[in-house]
Order: sequence, then C-alpha cells, then structure tokens
Amino acid sequence: MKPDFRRTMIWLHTYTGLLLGWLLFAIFLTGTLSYFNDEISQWMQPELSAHQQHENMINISLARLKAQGTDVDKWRIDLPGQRNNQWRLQWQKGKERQSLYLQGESGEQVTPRATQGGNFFRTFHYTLELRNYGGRYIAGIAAMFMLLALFSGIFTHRRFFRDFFTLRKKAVLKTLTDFHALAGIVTIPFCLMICASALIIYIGLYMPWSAQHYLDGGTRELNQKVTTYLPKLEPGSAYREPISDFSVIAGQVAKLWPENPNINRITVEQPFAANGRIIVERTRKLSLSNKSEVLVFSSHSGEPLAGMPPERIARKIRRIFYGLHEGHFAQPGLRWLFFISGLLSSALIASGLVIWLYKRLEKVKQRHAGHFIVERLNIAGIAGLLLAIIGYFYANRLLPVDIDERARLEIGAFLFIWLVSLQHSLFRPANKAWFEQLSLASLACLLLPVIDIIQEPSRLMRAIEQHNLIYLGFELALLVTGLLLYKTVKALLVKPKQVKQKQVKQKQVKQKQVKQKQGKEDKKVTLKHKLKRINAGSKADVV
Amino acid sequence: MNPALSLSARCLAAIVGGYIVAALSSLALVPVQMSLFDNRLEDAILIATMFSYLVYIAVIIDCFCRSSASRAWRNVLVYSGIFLTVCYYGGGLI
Repeated sequence: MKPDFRRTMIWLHTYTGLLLGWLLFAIFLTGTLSYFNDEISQWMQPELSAHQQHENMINISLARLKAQGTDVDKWRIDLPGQRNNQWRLQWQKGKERQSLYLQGESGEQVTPRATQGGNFFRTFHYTLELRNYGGRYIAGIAAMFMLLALFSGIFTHRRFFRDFFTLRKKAVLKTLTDFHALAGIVTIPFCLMICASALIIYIGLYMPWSAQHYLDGGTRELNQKVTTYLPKLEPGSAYREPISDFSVIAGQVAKLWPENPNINRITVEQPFAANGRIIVERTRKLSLSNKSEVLVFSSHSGEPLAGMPPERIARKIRRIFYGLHEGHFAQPGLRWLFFISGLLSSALIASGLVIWLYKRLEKVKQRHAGHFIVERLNIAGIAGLLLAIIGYFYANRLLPVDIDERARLEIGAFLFIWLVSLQHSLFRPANKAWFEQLSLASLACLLLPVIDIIQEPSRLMRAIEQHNLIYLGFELALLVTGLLLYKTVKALLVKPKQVKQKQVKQKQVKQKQVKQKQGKEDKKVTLKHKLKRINAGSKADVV
Repeated sequence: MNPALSLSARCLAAIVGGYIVAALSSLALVPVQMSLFDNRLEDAILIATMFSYLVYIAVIIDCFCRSSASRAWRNVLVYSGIFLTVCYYGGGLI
C-alpha cells in the first residue's frame, strides 16, 4: 500500500508538471518580473526624470486641473513615490478620460513614450493576453496544478534531508535533478503562498456557485455587499470654488498619519460642487491588505468628512491574500527575497521539464512524437520566453517614439518573437536550437545597455548625476542576466559530448553488474544489493 | 484493473470529483454557519467559498490515499451526498 501510494505521487508529480509546465514557467517568470513592475516601467519611460515629492506639487496639479474647465466630474493626481516617478494628472468628463504627465520643480508637461511598461508582465501573468477568452481560468487551473505538483513532489522524496543536502556535480542530469529537489524544497513556502493567494484573488471566477445560489446578482452582488464604499454624491449641488492651497489638508493628513504621511494618490470627486470631496490615499506599502487607507475632505473648505467604513472581516482576509500576492508592502530587501524566490521557482519548473525529457531520452532507443514535442516546447518555452522578454525591451527602445498604437506594437513584438523562436526550434536540431537561442538572448542582454547609451548618452549621465539607482540597477540586472546566460551557454557547449559518453559507459557498467548479480544470486536479495538499490533509487525514481 | 485506467479514474475523481465536492461544500456550509455562528449571509457565502478550496485539496489528497480508484470515487460520492443533504435540509434556515 505504501510504496504504491508513493508511486502514484511520483506519477502525479511527473505528469501534472509536464502538462502545464511551460505555461507555469511563463506565468512564474512574468509574475516574478512584475515584482519590479514600477521599476521596469521607469526604465521603459526614460523621458520622465526621477523626482521626489515636493511641497508645491499638489498645488501646481490643482491649478492645472482647474484650467480644464468647470464641467469636469473627477480629478485624479498620481504622485511619485519611492518606486515610481510618475507625476500624472487625470480628469474625467462623463466617461471620457484624459491625462498628462508633469515633471520638475515648476511642473512642465512631458509626453513619455506610449508603453504598457512593467504592467504588461503583470497582466500577462494572469490573463495570458486572452482576457476575453478565459485566460484567467487557464491561469487558475495552472495554479491548481502547481499546488498538486508541489504537494506530490514532497512525497517523491524518501529521504527529504539527505536529498536536500546532495548536489552531485559530475553529470549534468544528476546536477539538474539535485538542483530540482533543492530548489523545490527551498521554494515550497513561497509557491504555496503564491498559488493559494492567486486562487483566492479570483475566487469569484473559480468558485461562483455559492454566491449564485444564494444571491440573485451572483458574485457581483456579493462583492458589492462585502465591500465598503463612500456614500454616493448627490448630483445638482450648488457651485463652489475648490481649494487651491492644499496645505490646509496636508496639515491634517500629517496629524492623522503621523508616522508616514506619504500620499500616493489624490482623487477629487465633483470638484466644483458644494458636496465635492477630496480623497487622499496613502501609499500601500504600509499594510498587508491591498485596500489603501484613505482620508476624505471637503473639496472647497478642506474640512474632514466621514471616512470609509471598515470592511467585513471575511473581505479583509481576502484582501490580505491579495496583498500578499502583490507584495506592495515589501521593502527593497524583502522585495528582492520575493524576486529571488520567484526566479528559483521558475528555475524549478524549467529544470523539471528538462529532466523529464533527458531522463527518458537516456532510456529509449527510438524516439517517438512525445519526445519531439516536449523537446521543442522546452526550447521555445524556456529560451524562447527569455528572448521574447528581452525583445519586448528592445521594442521599447527601437520603435519610433511617435508611432501609432505603440504600446500594442511592443506587445506584438513580444508575441511575435516568441512565435519565431518556436518555429526556429522546430526546424533546428535540439542542441543547436538551445545553443543559438540562449546565446542570442545572452548577446541581446549584454547589448541592450550599450544601445541605450548610444541612443541617448544623456540618459545614463542624468541617472548617474541623480543617483537614480532604479535606472542603473535595471541596466546592471540586464548585464548580469546576460553574463549568466553566457555561462549557461558555455556549460552547454562543453558538456554534452563528454557527458553522453560517460553516461553510456556508466550505463553499460551498471547493466553488466546487474546481470552478473542476477546470474550469481538468482532471486536472493542480499544486503549489498539492497543498499545499492536504495542508493541508486533514491534519486532515480523521483522522475 | 489496468493500472493506467485506474490512475486516470483516480485523477478524474480527484480533479473533477474534488471540484464538485468543493462546490457543494461552498453551498452547504452557508446554512451551517448561519445557524451555528449567526453570521451574515454575505459573510457566510464568502467564508464558505474560501473554505471550499481547503475542501478541494483535502478531497484530492484523500483520493490518492485510497487503495483503489473505486474507493476514491465511492468517497467522492459519499462526501457529495453529505453536503447535498446538508444543503437540502439547511435551505430552510435562510
């Protein structure tokens, strides 16, 4: 019974991992990148210079927004913070929304290039660019599969700690297997947290039955009932001039949030009405929940109004899962920890896929279609995705700035490069395809900072002058990625021949030994044999 | 039974059966909560829905712990039956 259970677990681990492995790799890698969503966006909009919040910022914004006319329904001011440098104004008339970017001490207008920035990775990792075609359901199923693979993966190890402390370096496949076990054990808590919270975020999509059964409006009504809102504004209120000096409110905000009065966003609803209100949102990095704390003031007198009523506990729990997944609370150190855990999980998935294939190729003489498909998808799914991501950054720098539909074109470039990589992997021998795609990715990573400098040397100079660690960090990250990829390519180049010969030899020796033993000892299982089997089996039957 | 068939049956029980049991539990736990803890309806629904994920995972584990696929399916049916009964008789509480 017991070994049987373990065997089922191994089977489950192997095939849940294989079936959605490539999808999971794409989701994990792009999701990991979106931990640095704001930083990536900053690099992708080099027109915006780094700046801190200064006192005049809000007053300048208010003056600019007032000039947009008195029939505007809503203003919104996004202020730069520690991680993002966007000072953005938005105003809304009915359903029509317009926006502009400001910068500098006096607030000159700038037009940054149109791009989705890091946000593309964020939306891609759960919608897969298939929002209206069930992309979020697919992502949810993938999360569930990851949980299953993780859970069954734990059972595949007979001796958990011994496997954890083993890293055999002699053969690539063994190193990979050991690395797979090691990374798996290290990232268990991270993966559990990420997958579980991912499923909770879209709980209304994945488990709508209860709400549909008990409420007429389904999940939408449920959400409206458990979420709290500010009271609705009555239309037709008298005309009142909104405040132009924000310091009245700033003083109150500083009193109410003494430890950290950083404001993330200011929304003004019905700015020219007597019942208009100013909603001040605090930065989200101070709480675990994804709901931002707000204060509400009158738009013409600056007097405090009734704030947001507290939410129901059940809703808060969901918010906290949401917040945990997004990690807005994470300070730089913790953010890097999350990022590295994410990268390790991606490497875990990728190594699993590679192991599946080579474990089987070792044993069979005649390849069948399954091996071919897995091999090609491995190349396109792992190396191809890397290429596509880097291609996305290239598109950001190389596409003309004032072209139409620029943001869409960047995403188009991402998808197109991925497709090309798949085609390339289909028509080249596997080893060469791996080598070519990885070395291209490495070269591209190393070249991008150079291209950036050649294109506009002032950007780098400005970043150095302003101590813009985010900009410099991104370039550095590109170089490090390029070097790592280069190392991988080199390792791939040297090893395959030696390893194959070695493995073939080892295999022959082993077979001989086994044959001899079988001949000598017939069916008796001696202690020695048992020991040998355990030694060989502990890792071998993992996969 | 053919091992491949048995395994597929087991997986089906775990994934599809588990989801059905979880969905039923999200229905059944609402009247239970309302009568035991005096929760509000919307809270009860949200909690039951979130809790159903735990049920799902528990059922999946359970399916792979049974000695045969038919037992796994039997269990799925038993759980569904229990939750359906609770639903049926608990419906009057709302």
